Amino acid sequence: MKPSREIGAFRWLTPCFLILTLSAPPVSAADTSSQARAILAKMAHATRTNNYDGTFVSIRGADTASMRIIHKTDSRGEHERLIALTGTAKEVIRRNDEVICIFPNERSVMVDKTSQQAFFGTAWRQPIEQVAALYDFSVLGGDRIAGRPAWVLGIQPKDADRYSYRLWVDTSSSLLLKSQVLDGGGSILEQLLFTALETPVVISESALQASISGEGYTWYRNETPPASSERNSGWEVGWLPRGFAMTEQEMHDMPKDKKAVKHKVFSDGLATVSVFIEKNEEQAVPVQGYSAFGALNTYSTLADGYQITVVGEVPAATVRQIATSVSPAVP
Amino acid sequence: MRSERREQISALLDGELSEREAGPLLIEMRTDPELRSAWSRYHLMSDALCQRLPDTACRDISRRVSLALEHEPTCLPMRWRLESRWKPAAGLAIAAAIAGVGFFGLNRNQLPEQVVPQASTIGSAEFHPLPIATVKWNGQPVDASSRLSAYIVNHQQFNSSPQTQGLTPYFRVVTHEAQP
Repeated sequence: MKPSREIGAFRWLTPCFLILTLSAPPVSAADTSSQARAILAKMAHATRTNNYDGTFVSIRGADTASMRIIHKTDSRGEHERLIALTGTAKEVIRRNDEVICIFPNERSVMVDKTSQQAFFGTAWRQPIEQVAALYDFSVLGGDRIAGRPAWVLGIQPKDADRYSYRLWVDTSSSLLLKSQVLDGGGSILEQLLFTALETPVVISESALQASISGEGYTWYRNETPPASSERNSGWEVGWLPRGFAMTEQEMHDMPKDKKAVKHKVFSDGLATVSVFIEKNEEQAVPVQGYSAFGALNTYSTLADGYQITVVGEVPAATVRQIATSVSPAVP
Repeated sequence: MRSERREQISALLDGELSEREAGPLLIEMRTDPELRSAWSRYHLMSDALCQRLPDTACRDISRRVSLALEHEPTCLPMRWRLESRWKPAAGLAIAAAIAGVGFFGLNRNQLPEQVVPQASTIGSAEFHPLPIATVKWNGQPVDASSRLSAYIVNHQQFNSSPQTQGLTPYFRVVTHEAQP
């Protein structure tokens, strides 16, 4: 099934691919794994270090939304602004690890510190050989997105515990132009598509300023103290798909009620799964069962009076299996 | 056993033996256990070659062939019986394939509830897809749904998927509109 789909995609792309090969080095169809991984590494790097200004569409089922992203990197680091072009004019401004989310409808602003690591190539933090043991990487061909020639890359998992990906990467700037997350049956769960992308040498500071001053808005600051290992001990995740390892663990305070939540993050190098553990108040209605947002699945259950919720870009069966394996650690 | 007999058995199995030759051979098989054993072996080989064998491959095939021979004047119905064992299995495979189509055709939020039994059934809120934009900062009391939204937003910053390698993970916070 997999080869035929790849061949099918390749055949469809052949005309574009032939055009591309005139300007790009030829790629052997036999083993494109190393080329695909090299393109991905360049993409991750370009996303963090290049200047760009683009408009893209996000498609999740029947849900579509459009937004603009402006990104600048200079001696002071990264500066980024996202603006919703459909619906409410929400904005996210990020300056290195500080993230400001503006919600005009709620007249609220949220300021958060993010883990810097989250923005610097988490996918390639693990040895690529380790990721390649779990997924097959390939160059499927060429295409044209937002008026730019692009490589089409395929990332296919070797088991059913995770999703597959298709990425269209600009041949000149190495920036992402289109992406798809697909389930085991080949159905597209989520897509991103750039409709315009510029890579200006200079981006003015004003382009990165929020259009809303935030005056009169309610500001929320998340100042979570660093996690201590004692507060995180006491829980075990009994089952994880092959290749998943814990990358982070921390305590969050839930907004408003400041309830402490244990948060463990696991990754196989590409897919990420979060496990949240929170004491369930007696009067509170526990969250139970599944929900899904495009490629993101969640499953919640109760264990020992605690609310266990698993969130991840993996199939529903995988989040459930992880959630039901969480138990208090045996001392 | 003569090689001529072996050839005849093979031909009989393939339905290529004439009636004139088949009659004496079948009569001989009634009394000759070696011939009956060859007959069952040839069937087993044929099924193995055609990949019709189950994991628990007919270990007592010889005995069952003998039983069949006692009740059947000809061995051909026996062959049908061997095949017939596979009909239900094939039917199940088709049913599974059709179910598979239904599986992927279903709303993904309903699907797991139907396919995977719940681990426990504690009185709880039924969860429907939530718009991610109903994030934790919307000023509403923290109920189950906003708690889930907060989890999702917290999860996003650690997202290392290939598409967030090519774009800030915060795009999910902004792209989707809150829905009632």
